[in-house]
Amino acid sequence: MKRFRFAAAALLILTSTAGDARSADTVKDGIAELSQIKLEDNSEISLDGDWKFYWNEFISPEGAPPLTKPILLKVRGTWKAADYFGHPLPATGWGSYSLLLNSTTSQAPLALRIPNIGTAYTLFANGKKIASMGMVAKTAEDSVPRTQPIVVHLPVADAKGLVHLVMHVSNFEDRHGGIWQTIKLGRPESLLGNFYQGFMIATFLCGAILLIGLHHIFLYARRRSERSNLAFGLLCLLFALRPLAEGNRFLLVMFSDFPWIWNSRIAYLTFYGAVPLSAWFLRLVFPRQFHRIAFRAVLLMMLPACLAVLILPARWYSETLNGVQLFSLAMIVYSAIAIVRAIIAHERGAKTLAAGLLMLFAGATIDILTVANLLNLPELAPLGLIGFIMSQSVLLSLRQEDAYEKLENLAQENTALISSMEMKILERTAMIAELSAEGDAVLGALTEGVFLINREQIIGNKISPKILELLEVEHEDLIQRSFAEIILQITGEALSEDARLFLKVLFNPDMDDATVEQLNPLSHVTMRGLRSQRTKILQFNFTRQRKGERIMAAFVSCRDITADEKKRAEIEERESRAQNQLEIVRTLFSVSPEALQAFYGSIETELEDIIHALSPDTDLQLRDRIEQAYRAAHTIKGSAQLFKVNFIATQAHAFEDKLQNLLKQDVLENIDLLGVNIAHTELQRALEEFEEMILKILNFQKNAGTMHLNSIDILRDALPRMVAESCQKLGKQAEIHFIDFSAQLIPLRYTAAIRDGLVQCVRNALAHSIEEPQTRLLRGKPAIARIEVSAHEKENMLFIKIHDDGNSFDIGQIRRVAEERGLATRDELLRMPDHEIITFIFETGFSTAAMAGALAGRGAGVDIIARKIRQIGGKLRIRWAKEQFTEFTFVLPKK
Amino acid sequence: MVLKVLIVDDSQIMRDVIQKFLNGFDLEIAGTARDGEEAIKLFREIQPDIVTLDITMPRIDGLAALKEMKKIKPEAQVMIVSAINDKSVVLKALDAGAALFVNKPVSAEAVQTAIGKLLAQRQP
Repeated sequence: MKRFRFAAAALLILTSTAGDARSADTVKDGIAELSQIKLEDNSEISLDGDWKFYWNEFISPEGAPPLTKPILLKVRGTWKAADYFGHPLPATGWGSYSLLLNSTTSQAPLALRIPNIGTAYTLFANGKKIASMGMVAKTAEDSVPRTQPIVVHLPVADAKGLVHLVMHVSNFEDRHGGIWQTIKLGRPESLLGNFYQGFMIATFLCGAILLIGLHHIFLYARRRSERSNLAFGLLCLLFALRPLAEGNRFLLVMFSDFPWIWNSRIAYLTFYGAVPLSAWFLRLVFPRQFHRIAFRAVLLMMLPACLAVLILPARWYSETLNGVQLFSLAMIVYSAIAIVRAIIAHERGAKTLAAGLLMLFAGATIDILTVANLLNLPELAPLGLIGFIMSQSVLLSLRQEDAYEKLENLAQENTALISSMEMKILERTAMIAELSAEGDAVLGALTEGVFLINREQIIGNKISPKILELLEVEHEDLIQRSFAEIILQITGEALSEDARLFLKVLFNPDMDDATVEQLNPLSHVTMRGLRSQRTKILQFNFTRQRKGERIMAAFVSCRDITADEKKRAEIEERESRAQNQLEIVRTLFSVSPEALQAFYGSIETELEDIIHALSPDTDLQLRDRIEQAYRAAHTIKGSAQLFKVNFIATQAHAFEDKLQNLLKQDVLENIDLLGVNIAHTELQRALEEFEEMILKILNFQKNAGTMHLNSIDILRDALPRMVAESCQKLGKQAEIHFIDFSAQLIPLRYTAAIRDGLVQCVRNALAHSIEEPQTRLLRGKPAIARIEVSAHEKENMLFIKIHDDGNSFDIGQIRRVAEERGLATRDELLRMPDHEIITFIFETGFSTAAMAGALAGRGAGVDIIARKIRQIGGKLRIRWAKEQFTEFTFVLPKK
Repeated sequence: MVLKVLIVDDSQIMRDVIQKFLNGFDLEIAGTARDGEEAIKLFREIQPDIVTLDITMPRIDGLAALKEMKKIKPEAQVMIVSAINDKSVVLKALDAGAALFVNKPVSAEAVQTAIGKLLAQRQP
């Protein structure tokens, strides 16, 4: 407020010297009586009063009598509508003013301040032209308008002390013509001094208002939301021009070539334009008090008026002035009411603005009234404007003060907020740490490996420790790494690629969960631990984490299913075995026991062949070995099909396939036998089961009384068949006889061993001991050889004897083989008695058979028998006589 | 314009079944093929908008046929209708541009939902 007062005081000083015109009724009937007046150095005499006026006549300045009669016309005014002998004068036209100045001699030197005169004039004093403005003319075409106040020196009075002023005036442009304003008489220095003072004030006002205007426009440019700044800035720009274009019209003084019409337009616009801009400003500042409709009315009224000023000739737009003045006064009244209401409503800055506007409005009102010739005061609108602008500055500084205060408060609040935020952050951090610790604890307790994979297929930071154990990788090797890369590390390229493609499918929201689960390629991953070197089976399960339609992440759990898988495999095997056993039972019940035995007997040779072919000790070529096994498998399959033992047929078929594929190869290597051996094991197992089942079922049937055969009985049934078949193959003749060999005598636990031993012994007898029928006949033996199987008990021992009447052992042959094999030196062998030589046949794989591939002689002979008997706690005894008999005895403890 | 559909499966029953399932839609069954070779030939001829494609087929399998189709008309939508004999092949087909996968044995609901999704994908 201090600043405001100071500025107001400065303005008062600036303007205090302006206008001190003495108003006196010195001018009457076209004569100014000055003889009684003493002019002070800085005082001025107004020449307002009744001047003589000649319409449509430029009277002679030299004093020749005028042609028309004059009327008395009020100066500071217009001829428009003046009573010219009973009829009113028009606005435009031409004529002469005349005034006689009396007794100015003593006052010399004097000067006249000639104001704005509408719209061109030439001034003569005592017949001499002393001033002109524009070009007076009798027609509009010849006329050149120009209105601009000037100061002219008054010539010295004539001998009578008179100065006769004649002014030719014409107006074709303005709404009214004549001497609009007061002509002043005074000392030249004083008048000029006032003129320059006015110029100074005008430039000062222009500069000051311009600066404030620009300041507000810049403010607006920075803060577009404050449109009141723009309105005020534009208003200021407009007002800045007013002191230059109006009043002393310095624009015309400064730029002598400046067209009068444009100065006029600018002068009008500074008034017309100010009305809507002020209304806009008030509307923006007091939207509640300055009604929208009022604003619209202003625009509707003033914008066309402004347009008219810009494009129409002065003669036309100047006519709107009265209307606009009235409208403006109405607006001033309305604005005043609005401001009062704003003050009542305690609107921010309303009082300050009201004070400023009061000054502006007062100035404007006075100016309007002056222009309307209702008052005669110097132009006060710029002064009011300065007051208004000052108030606006105060308002601005108040606002800025508020802003600073707000800023300070905000800063304080901010500081408080920041410290409270810091507290909150600390709290949150603590909470997160707690949660995280809880999360870690939960993760740590998990027995499954869990982690998250993001949309970029990268593994997240949170993982359960178990996963590291499962995958056998380090923490830093897992987190933030690509999942496919991890899979590549622990398995291989193919699965890694599948994992990558699978994750793409997983993150596709169009794929439903069920499909995604079905496509999981990692539900059964076999891997070899990098650290443990243990093969294990892992199962990865994926759960999609959704956010709306999008799949944000995959939650992955992983567990070791090796044990489960093992169990499952066992169960599966058990099931398949059960299935096989069921098949066996079905076979047993659908096929006669005899047929089964026949089948079993029929394939034994083939099984032996396969064993022989696959044995590493064989001297056969690889291809021959496989061919032999193949033929055998084929036979087994045929027999199984014949006897409808389907599951054996299937196994045999698979085995046969394997061998057949091998035979298709051009080159065979030992490694190829690996697969064959596996298939062979399968077949053997099936057969063993078959055998076992046969025994069990037969035993069961026997115990249940449905059938009287036990395994021994089966053997008694099967062996003759085997002998017959073998004889046929070997071209020999033999019969087998059982003496006291029955199930009653032989404990069940020995059955299998005895059966195997018996079969082997009978085989050996047929292969090695028993001669061809011709040889037998030559030796005086019956052509048909006799094999005897007998059993008897003695002193808690069970004796099973197998006796044949063949050639028995070929001692010479055994010696040779023993020597070839390096079992002993030739000398040692020669010194050995025959019964010692015989012991060599107990050596594993020892064989003397001349014909390879025949029934026996594959080295799996006596040594196998001996081992089997030993296994059940018995002993093997051999008695023999060259070319007479061989006798094997199984000596078994009875208990 | 009615969208054109090509049904590819080596089984006559499957072709009929899929065709029946698509009855409710405003689609034109423009052709059926029983192997990959025939499928590619028909595809080239009729330029279908939607293809239902089996994977395991004689001569040219589904995956190879799919790749060929994508070369001829990349904007065609291919829906794999197959049993998962080999997850890897299905994943490769989805990667090669198949829009969806329906597991065999198929249900009307599964096929119709999948077709619905394909049609929804066509709406921008």
